[in-house]
Amino acid sequence: MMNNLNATVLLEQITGSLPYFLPEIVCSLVFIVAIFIDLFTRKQSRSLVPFFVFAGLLLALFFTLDQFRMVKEEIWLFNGMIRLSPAGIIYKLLFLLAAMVTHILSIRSKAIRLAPKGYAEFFIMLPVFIVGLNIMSMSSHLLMIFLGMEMVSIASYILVAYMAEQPRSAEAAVKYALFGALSSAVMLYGISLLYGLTGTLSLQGSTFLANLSKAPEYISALAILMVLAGFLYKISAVPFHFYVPDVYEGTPAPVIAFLSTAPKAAGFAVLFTFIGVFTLPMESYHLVWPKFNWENILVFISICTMTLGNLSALAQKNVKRMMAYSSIAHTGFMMMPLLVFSEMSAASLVFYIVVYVLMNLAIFLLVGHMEDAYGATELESYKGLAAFNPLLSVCMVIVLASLVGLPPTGGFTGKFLVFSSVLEAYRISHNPWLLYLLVAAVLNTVIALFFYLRLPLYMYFRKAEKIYTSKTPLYLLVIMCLLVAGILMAGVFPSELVKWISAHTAETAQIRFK
Amino acid sequence: MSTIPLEHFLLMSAALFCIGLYAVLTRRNLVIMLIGIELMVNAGVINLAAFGAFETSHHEGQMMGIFAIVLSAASVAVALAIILKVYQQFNTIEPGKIDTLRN
Repeated sequence: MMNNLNATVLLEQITGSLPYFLPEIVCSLVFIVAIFIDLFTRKQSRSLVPFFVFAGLLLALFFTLDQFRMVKEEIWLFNGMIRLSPAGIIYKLLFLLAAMVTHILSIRSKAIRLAPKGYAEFFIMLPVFIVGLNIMSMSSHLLMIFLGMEMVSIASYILVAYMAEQPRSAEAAVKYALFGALSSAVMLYGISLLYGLTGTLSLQGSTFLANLSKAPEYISALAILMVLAGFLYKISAVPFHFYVPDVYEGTPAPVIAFLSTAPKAAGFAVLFTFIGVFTLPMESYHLVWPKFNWENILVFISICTMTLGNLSALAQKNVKRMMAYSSIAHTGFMMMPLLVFSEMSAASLVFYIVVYVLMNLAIFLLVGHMEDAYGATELESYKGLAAFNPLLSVCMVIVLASLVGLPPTGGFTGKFLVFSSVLEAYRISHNPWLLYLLVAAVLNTVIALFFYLRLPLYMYFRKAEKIYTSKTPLYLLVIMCLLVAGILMAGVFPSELVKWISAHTAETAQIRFK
Repeated sequence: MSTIPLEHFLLMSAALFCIGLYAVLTRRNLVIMLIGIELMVNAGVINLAAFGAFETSHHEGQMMGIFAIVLSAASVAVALAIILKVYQQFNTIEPGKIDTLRN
């Protein structure tokens, strides 16, 4: 009798949650239907599947936008497995934006069109990504976190391996898949230890932390570090970064445009949830670890990540490899607000991620176009481009200035917000590590100037050795201008965007700091 | 009915994890590295099942274990397919010999 009652309550929970899960349901259906469309129409029409997938993404976008209206505060869905928060919806919008831009870039990309098995399957993977990424950004249960991360990882392996008829792609894919599987195995072991220590997998509420405080320090520290290893792999932080340059170099630009933005943003969403648990008022749980200070460990990792990324980027001649190290360096910057965890840092993290996604999509649009039109992969091959393609070059200079963090771009505002949230935290806590972090970040911004501005140097001040004849397609220019407009808006009128973001993140943060 | 104490499970899974990690770090064969990774995943699953026997309110351990098995099977399928592609391209599955991506 009791079981029956429980089952009814559970069923009601599930059916009640479904209306809040529409974007994910749409994407799952699109995935399944698209496979069959591909199966039956492969001979007649090649463009039906991409069109169908894009329509599905638009529908998911509609439902995601609709959630702003439905969700004003955190909602727990599916018996506490999923937490839908206003901040999560911003992440979901970003994933959709990245997926749609990638879709448009891929549809004309030579590398993807010429894949021997046809290009329909490539587009079928995009909705899968969205489901996995959305689950990552909404979960606060270790099972859902693991599920979302594995979904995203497996889909990423498939995208990277899509062009595996070329040795470089195959090599990149195998490195990516093996390191990914290794890190998720380590993470699973860490999760199992945490489960043994706390008796729960849910990060919601105080049970997790209360039980963890009764556990011995070393074993808890080991478990937490193992789980962090999985997250750090996803955001490509040191020491889990070494696969990044190879994967970027061996993979077509549109794929990298997606992989360098969406999964990384989702990784930060998960990391934010996980670290958030430990920022609940520690003293009331008697959670005192005298020897293991994970905050300082993360500060150290953040400093190493940005320094190593920037210094290695200096030596690169291949544009994609340079951008790989640049994205590692940005991971270091994006880790900064995670370490201080205040209401302001929550907003500054989301702001930085929004700008980062726009910047990386824009830069890989150019890199992809150059690769397709001229087979250009090295910095050298950008010589004198500005004379032939002024609009694209101007856009590029703005994006690169934003990546460095120069005003009046969004990159500047993002760095400003992040730095000031760390400074504010330092004033309160006087933790010397935060000061080291700030100094390292400022120095790194200066280093970044040198390698980012090499690209405009080649484009504007070197004589062209060849003639860039092929015209840039109009749709690429339109997307580029829209992305650049977004970056400029975030830099010139940041207050509106910041207000909007902090209105959505505040609620998540307030629960923590009450 | 006598039961096996929890410590035995934990020691076995820790040993399994270390053996797997050792295989990944030392062996020069992609397939054996993948087997090592699988051992590490199974160590985690054994832990989850063993701890799950003591938590009877939600059975989260068992549930997570089943999910982990399914997900690792999926990622192994993809990884093996990629290794096959690598073998077709390079005629070897020794990681040290697969290095065209270098500056």
